[in-house]
Amino acid sequence: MLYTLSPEHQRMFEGRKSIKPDITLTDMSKATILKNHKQFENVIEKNIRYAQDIIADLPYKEKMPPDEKKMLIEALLLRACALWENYIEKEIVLLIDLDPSNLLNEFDLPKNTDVNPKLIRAIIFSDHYRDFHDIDRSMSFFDRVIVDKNNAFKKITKRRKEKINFIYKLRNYLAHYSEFSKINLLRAYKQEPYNYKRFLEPGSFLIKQKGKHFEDLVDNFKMSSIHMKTIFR
Amino acid sequence: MDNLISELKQISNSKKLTFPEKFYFSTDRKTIMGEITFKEILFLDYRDTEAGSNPREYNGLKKTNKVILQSLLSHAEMFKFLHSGIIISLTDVEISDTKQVIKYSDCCLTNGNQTRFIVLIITLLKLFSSNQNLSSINSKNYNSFVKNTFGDSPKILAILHRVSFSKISQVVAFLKDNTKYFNKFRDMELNSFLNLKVRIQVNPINFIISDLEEKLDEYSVGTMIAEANNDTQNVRTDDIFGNKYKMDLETYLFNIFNKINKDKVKIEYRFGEVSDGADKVHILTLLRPIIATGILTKEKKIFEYTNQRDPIYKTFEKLLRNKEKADKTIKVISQLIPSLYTIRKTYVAPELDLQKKNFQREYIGKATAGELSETIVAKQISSIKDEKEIEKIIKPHINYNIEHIFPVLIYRVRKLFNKSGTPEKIDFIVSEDKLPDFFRALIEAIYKKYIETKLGGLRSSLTTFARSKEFYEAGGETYIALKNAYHLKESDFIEKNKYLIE
Repeated sequence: MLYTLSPEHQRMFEGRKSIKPDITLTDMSKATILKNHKQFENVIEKNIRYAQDIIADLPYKEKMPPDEKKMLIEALLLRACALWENYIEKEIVLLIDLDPSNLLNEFDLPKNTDVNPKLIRAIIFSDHYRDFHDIDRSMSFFDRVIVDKNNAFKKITKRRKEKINFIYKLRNYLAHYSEFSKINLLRAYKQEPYNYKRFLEPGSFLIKQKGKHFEDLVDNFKMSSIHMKTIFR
Repeated sequence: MDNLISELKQISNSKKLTFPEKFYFSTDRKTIMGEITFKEILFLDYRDTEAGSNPREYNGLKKTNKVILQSLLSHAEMFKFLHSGIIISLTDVEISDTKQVIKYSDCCLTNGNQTRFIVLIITLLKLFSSNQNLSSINSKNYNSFVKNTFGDSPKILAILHRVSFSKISQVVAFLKDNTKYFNKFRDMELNSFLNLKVRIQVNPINFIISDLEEKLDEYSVGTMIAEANNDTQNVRTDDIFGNKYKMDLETYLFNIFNKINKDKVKIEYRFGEVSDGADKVHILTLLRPIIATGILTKEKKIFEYTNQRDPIYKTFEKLLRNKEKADKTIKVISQLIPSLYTIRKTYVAPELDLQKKNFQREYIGKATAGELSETIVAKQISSIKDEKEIEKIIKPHINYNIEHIFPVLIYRVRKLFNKSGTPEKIDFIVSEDKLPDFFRALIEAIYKKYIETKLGGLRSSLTTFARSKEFYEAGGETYIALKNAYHLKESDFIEKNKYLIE
């Protein structure tokens, strides 16, 4: 059977005279998955460090007014959520690519269909808008399209998923400023571990205690990615 | 209470000691012994007076002080037999004919300062609780109590200034936790308490030095007595050095620092002496990085000395004893001190704070991903069930001591200090806009080595590692890369101004 290497795979083997016989296509796909993780984790880390620099009031930098800090931190949170969604979209495709049998079954496609990441993406995302940021809500879909042994989403712990849901309450309020999203966020603030009694604008909440909440919530995306990787250990 | 407060104010300003009974006054006029009431000793001076300077501040409710407090509360009448007594030095002593009053100009409480402060705290708390509930005491209402009660007495305020509210609240917490002592405190009558007696020895310095062969001034004799009185006790080397060399340090080494930081940063010569909430820096913080530059010691001694206070103080003691010979070096050090302090405050401390968080995330991530299998925490991590436990295991290994990392950084960059065109200034040859990135990269490399060594398992203690040549090599490659990238030309300025202390 003749395989065509994707541009990413081609780059990976650039300069080599031959593909070593002990490197299988699964290894290559796993390497692509790990690359997706690495890129995501690096960009999230950059996001956190930038936020920390803003919040820290470093002596050699001009002091930023609190309102500006809050605006920037809110923007960085929205960016982190966007990065998370983009990363998950890629991850689903790559995990299915490792073994597409569940996907073919779910979409009633012939078992011998020659799939590649591009085709998988087309199958999953072209018919209608899908968003997977809520891991629990998306889990039944993941189960149907990703074979169990490759379903890295199962590795995300309950604690991590709760934090993702909380950050999305902040994100939704920032994206809509609707009464509904505000009530949802206030409800979340009132619960453990925050136990707040009154509503706080996300910027004020995120820069509290030298940005502890921002760091914890955004790092949670990175930690979720790290947990997911453990499936390939 | 008002009468008692007035009496205390009057005693504190009187510059005389009144004894309830005749005291012993030796025929050579150099020894005075007797008994004195608590109210007479409450506000005696103890530091930086013409009669000398006691090297110790009140050090809080530590073991011995707790015993003194317990004994004052439960065996008040027996106290003078349980306590070895206090010692004071006085200048310009005049003895009354009745041998019951001593007039003086300056006083230094050389022994019994801890006891005095405990008596003082009990007195303050009794006065406070006469109008307000002791359990409601907080820094705000305590400060307003002090202001309202003693605001018109600068002498008393100067002494009270030496006891921070945290020290007061230690005693309150002790009373709250110990019903027996709380009841004793509650039932105690303040006037009777202040009339309790303690044994006292007085050193009349003017009589002592009157026929000395060696010409010594009153301050030197008083301080000598104060230091000798404290020598057998657990006094920090820091406090002894700071006390003894304060004048020299101010004149020769901290002169430029004080000029630059006037009113902004206070130098602490003895631990705890600056307690007014002002920005402060301890002498050791300023002196330690000088050793790391290598301007005073042989290369191999840098690693060994930088993290030990005794050799640091000894080195500076010798330097100050050779002020004339080492004049050039002393000038350079006085210029280096503010420069190094700025580097520490502006770049190192905030950067370490940020990098600690970065490293915590990095290593918690590594532990979760199973990438710490070669470290001493591998076993612990593999056996845990709750991921929160990982954080608990990792965090202590990421903690740092700035006194370990800062000297290594200074050692690394010491050849980048150079003579400046501006008088009393030293140049650091990296341009200001590059400094944040420059220090960030170096600190990261040094801090990483620190963490990796801790996680790899220390052969001995962390302190031993912090004093090792191996640790002082950290950041070497990063330094070379930065030096080349920024086209930095090293200077021999430090080398040329070296004064080796053997």
